[in-house]
Amino acid sequence: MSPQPGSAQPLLEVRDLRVSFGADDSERVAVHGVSLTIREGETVALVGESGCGKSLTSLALLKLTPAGSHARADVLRLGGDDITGLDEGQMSNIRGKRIAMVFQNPMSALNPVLTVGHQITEVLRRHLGLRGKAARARAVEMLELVEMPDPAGRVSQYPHQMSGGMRQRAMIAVALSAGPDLLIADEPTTALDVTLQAQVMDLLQRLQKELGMAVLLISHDLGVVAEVADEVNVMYAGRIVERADARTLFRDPAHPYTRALLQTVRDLESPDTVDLAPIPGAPPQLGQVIPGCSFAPRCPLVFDRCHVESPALRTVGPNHEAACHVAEEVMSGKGSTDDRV
Amino acid sequence: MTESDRAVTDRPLLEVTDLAVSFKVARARGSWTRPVVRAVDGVSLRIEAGETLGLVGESGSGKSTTGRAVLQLVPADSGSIYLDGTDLASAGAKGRDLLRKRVQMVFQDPFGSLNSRMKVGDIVREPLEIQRIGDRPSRRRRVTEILDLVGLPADAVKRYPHEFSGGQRQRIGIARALAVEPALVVCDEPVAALDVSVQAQILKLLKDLQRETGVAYLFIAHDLNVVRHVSRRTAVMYLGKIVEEGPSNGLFASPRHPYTQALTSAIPIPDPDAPRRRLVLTGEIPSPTNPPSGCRFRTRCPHAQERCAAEEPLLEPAGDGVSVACHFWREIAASKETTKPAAS
Amino acid sequence: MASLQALDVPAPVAKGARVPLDRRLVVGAVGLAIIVLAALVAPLIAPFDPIEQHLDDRLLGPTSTYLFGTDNLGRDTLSRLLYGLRPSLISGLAAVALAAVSGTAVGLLAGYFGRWADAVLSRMVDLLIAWPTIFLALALVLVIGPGQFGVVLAIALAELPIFARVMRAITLSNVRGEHVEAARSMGATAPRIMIRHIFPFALSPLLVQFAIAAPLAVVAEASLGYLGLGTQPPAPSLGAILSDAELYLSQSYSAAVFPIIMIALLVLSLTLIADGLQKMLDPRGAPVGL
Repeated sequence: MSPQPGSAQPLLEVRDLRVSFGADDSERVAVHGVSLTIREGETVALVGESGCGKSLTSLALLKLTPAGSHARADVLRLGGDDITGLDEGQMSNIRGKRIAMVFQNPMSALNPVLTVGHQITEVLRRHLGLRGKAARARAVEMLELVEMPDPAGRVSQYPHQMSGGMRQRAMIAVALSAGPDLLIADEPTTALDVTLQAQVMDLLQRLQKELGMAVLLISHDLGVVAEVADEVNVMYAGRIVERADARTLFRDPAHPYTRALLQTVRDLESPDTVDLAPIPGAPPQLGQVIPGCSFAPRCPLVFDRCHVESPALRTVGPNHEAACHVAEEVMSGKGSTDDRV
Repeated sequence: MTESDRAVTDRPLLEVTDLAVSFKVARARGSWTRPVVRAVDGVSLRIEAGETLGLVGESGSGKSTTGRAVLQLVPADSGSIYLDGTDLASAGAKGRDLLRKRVQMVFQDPFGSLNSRMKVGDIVREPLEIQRIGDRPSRRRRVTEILDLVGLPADAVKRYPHEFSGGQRQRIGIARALAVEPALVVCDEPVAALDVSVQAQILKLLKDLQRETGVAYLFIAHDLNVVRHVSRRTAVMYLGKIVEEGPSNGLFASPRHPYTQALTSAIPIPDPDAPRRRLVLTGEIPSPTNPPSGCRFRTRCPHAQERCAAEEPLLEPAGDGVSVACHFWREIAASKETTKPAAS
Repeated sequence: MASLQALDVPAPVAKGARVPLDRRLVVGAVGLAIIVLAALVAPLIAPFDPIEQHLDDRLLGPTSTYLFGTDNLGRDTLSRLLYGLRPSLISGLAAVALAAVSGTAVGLLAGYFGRWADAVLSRMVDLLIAWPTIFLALALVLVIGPGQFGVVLAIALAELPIFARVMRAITLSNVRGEHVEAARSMGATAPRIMIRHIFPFALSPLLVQFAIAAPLAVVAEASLGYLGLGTQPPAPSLGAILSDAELYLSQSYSAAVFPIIMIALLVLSLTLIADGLQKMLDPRGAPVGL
């Protein structure tokens, strides 16, 4: 069912995605020209703090942005096929079957009045045409796959009868039942305890290998991203400000925001840190307008050009792009927190 | 509190002994009785003036309930709470008065913990009004002073909470807690709802404020890194009991209790090349209405033996200022020594 | 004390935009203002004394002297209407105000203290809902005799449950909130919490309920007046005028039609105000309100 990983044609390709709310004078652009490429079997991470537009971006891929929003893209291709022009009916064939989504809060994503088994068989019926006993058996199989304790018993339970971790597993089972090529996971472990988080991330990794699935992971947690991602995209104020393979990004960030964020996370992690050197200010809200580079108000390397010209995403190394006028200085270590104070 | 104040009292600021708090929960279908959750079951803590004690645990551990019990926001079933040597239980109204003046709380939700219909100035001034501290002009001065201290602009007094970001609202909450110059502030997940970059700001603020004012913190959180950064000592809770406590750095560097070991190994490391020696716990936290007999952690513990089901382990000293509640901590520590991990 | 981190904090977020005044609200308010004004200056603008009888000019339609015609005793309808507005406005609005204050108090106490207090108070409120206004009024009249006071009390009791229910619901949704917990942790007493930390959240919905209940009260007052339970003759009230006119409908319509139009205009103004307020205070649109 799933093609070999690493084949020439990307599984999902989006170029210049733009999501905005309102019109004319009151228009607020939440996502400005985001481009992503996801290959089969690959794990791509979209990292950022609240208000950066990462969740909206993932919803836009499935054309599920909320009412009152306008989403458009130059290119939106799934497995080589252009899906920009597809209508609601055609998109619903894709959702669940080729691209599935898992959310942060299983209690709101799962239907509270339907049993877990019912929610799985609903997907099976819609996309695979399975019915009756065959569907039910497959539902139990799916629950086994996600390591649900006592799958045969749980299949007829309601979400409120399960614990948080089990609900998350149930949601993953529903998402994977039709065997999608791409799983979008939007903060899948944020609401979980750290020990559960570890279990769920391990599960996702294992499933990904077994099913040959690609994953678009959306998270604010750099630790989680470091563990599972092949490629990392850092978002800030609706734009991708840095993209690189995981190793390069963590070792050699090229954007001041990425570098500062990594520094904060590492400082918190290290027992030797006495004083933190936080990034001043606060992340901009969704749709807020900032002239020039949106990170300029908080950037330690800011200079005049930053307030006037918004830097474009450009190549700064092999498989490494950054949107900063002075990316090279960032990579060489200038202006890091050790310098600053 | 000045330096000399601190020197005079050589007894701890807060001493909690064998605290127990329980709740009744909703009746299950088909049952007549309402099950009881022993959220806190025999917890003892001490906090010295000016220091930070971290209280860490996952959901259901009872850490938040412990914090609220210290403030008498939930009634304690048993156990004693001594504040500055005064037994709060027997001191009645005077004890409550003392409590409100000396202990305050910072809450988790920057949106829900502030009354959105009140101006910021009124929010911060309210504790002074309730405690009848000072007169109107002196209260106004204090509000300006404390807002400046937490890094908020002076005109904030006239504004409403919704005009501020999450991090700023949390600063307002901190200002409110510090207005009466308490000796102890219970921080219940003060940064959990904030973005990483803002978390760092608030943590730095809390530490700076401690340095300036000498206030002590009971820092309750689920994020181990955050707790370790702010607390000199930490206690780890599981299902209503403390399973390990000691100096934070040592506790997390070489945990002795299997639960602490699992917790520390589960923290994701922001480095793709770091070795992952994950001790993934099996199963889930047991129902708090029916905790396992003996050691509560035994159902998920890779080292559980017969004795663990029969006998509940008590906290015992394990060297380096650490106390552990586990029958076999020595054996576990010894086996860790012999089996060094492959990658390093 | 030195400021520790003023530089790190950005300027506060901008205020939300003000919501424009709803057109219905304006129209309704203007209408109500005119009616209230007319009632206030009735002695100045009424062409005749409302109880003065002109027996030669009974049951006339609108003429140049009697703009709205006369009733069966030759009393000028226009003048009677103008004077009759007063008891209607007073009864209607006073009754609602009384209901609002007492209902809010009941709802607050029931929601805050819960358990027994809630059980007892809620059952009492349920009783009030079950009893129709008319029967309440009749029962009261039996006890205290006819007159405006009885009518006001009856209407107040009938409208009380609406306010109690709304206040109780808001109390319940706020009483477990963290801001209330924060207030408790500072040592706030129950009255303080109820007044400062719970009641303000109910202002908008209560205001809307007030605007909805007011026209209902006016109609109730007119109905009770029609039944003869309110202000006693010869003092005019809208309902009483209507009642008198009913007997002579075949001979003259004016004495009936004009009170009806007046009641309708009053109710329409109040309803427009209610609708407009509701739209403005809707959380979807505005930063004001719940």
